[in-house]
Amino acid sequence: MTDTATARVGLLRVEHRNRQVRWGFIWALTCAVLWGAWYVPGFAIYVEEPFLSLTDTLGTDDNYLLAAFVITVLNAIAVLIALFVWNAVLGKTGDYVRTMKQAKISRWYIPAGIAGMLAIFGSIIAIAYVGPQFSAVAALLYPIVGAGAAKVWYSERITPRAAIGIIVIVVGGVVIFTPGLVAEFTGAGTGGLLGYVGGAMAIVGWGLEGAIAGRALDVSDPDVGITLRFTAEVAIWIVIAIPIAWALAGGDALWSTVGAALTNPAVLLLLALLGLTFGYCYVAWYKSFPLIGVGRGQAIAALYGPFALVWLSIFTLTAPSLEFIVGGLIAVVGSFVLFTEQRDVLEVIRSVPSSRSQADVKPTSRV
Amino acid sequence: MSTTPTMHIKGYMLQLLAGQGAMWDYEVAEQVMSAYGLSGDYWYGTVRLTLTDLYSGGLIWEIDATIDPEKSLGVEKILFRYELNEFGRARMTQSGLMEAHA
Repeated sequence: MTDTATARVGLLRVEHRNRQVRWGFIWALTCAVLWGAWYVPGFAIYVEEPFLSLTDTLGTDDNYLLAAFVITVLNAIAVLIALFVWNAVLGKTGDYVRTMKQAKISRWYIPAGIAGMLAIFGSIIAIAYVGPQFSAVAALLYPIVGAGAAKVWYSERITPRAAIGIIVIVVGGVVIFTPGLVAEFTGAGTGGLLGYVGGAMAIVGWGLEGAIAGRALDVSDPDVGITLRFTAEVAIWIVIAIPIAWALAGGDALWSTVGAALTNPAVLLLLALLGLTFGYCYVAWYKSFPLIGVGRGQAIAALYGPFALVWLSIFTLTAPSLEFIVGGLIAVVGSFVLFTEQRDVLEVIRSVPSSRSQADVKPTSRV
Repeated sequence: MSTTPTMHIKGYMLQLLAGQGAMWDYEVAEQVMSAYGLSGDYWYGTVRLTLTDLYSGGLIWEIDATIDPEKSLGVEKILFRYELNEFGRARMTQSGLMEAHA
């Protein structure tokens, strides 16, 4: 090749690798936007029947948990339907079946699904027994667990700079929810402990789900992988959790709630919105992991906290607070700390032994 | 037409790289598309994107890059030559995509 051709190759190569990293961040940000948007139908569904009568002031905590349980299960089913449509459109349905048959690969999506469903349910328990602000803050801490697990487990490159970026984003999120958090801590009362356990489930669950997914995605496609993960979750709900809840809820209460929910057109519309926002947020989450790593992908996705408040303030026409503006700005600064990291660090996200650049291509250097 | 492989596409790609040594991305794309009976820009792009995932995940090394419009549907596009590395081999063994090797 001539020198100009070599220079042209070099230039295009840099452009391509920059695009690779940029898309990793774009997917993670897409996840944050959709995750935040999910809270709009996620809150709205509680003011529709049958959930309204279960959670109004006359309702007990048991009724609240029954409503939360039914919504969580129906949400998972709605997400799975949305993901089946997604794979059909992409022409990946055949690959979904083929990947599922590779037991040594698809089995990883079972613990990922369990971790994810514990996180979702934990965050709902945290809302019920401490409060929504606490639950939101608790969930925001998950990238710390995810980044730590990915670094220890498969040597993901969490540089000091990346660690700072992740922590700054988390701090920004915490600042946003501080005022409500203090009020909730002081008013949590005796049921508080269960709520804190729920918060811990959210942190550990979502963090570990990401780390496990990062491992499984090494050898499987993200669009297919996320669908397998929700297949596992729905299967676990149907086979294990629903029979237990049926027994605990005293039989008919569970089915009458599900029946009433599915015959209310407003609930069906909200379920469709829940499935679309949560399903595609999860698609984007899983697509970002192979490109920029679990730690960075999760940290950018944690911007869902600020986005949730943006969406909710748009739909409820309430002005955001000063804490929101300060915390939001801190989180944005943290994102830039991550995004502006040197490209050669971001290009390959694992510290693979003897990873080599284009410059040394001698086969003898192979380990 | 030969029968479609029972292996999923990403696993099939790893096995191609394990069996044939270093490969250009368009070679991987051609072989995948012919094995699965697929065609068109979309699948060509999907295979290249999957190779990018494998590269950023550290399973394969980029060992060469070039431009050859004939190999990239007439447009000037960067082409990469990839090679499976030890980490990739280890992942394949752990995932049942390859027999354990000495």
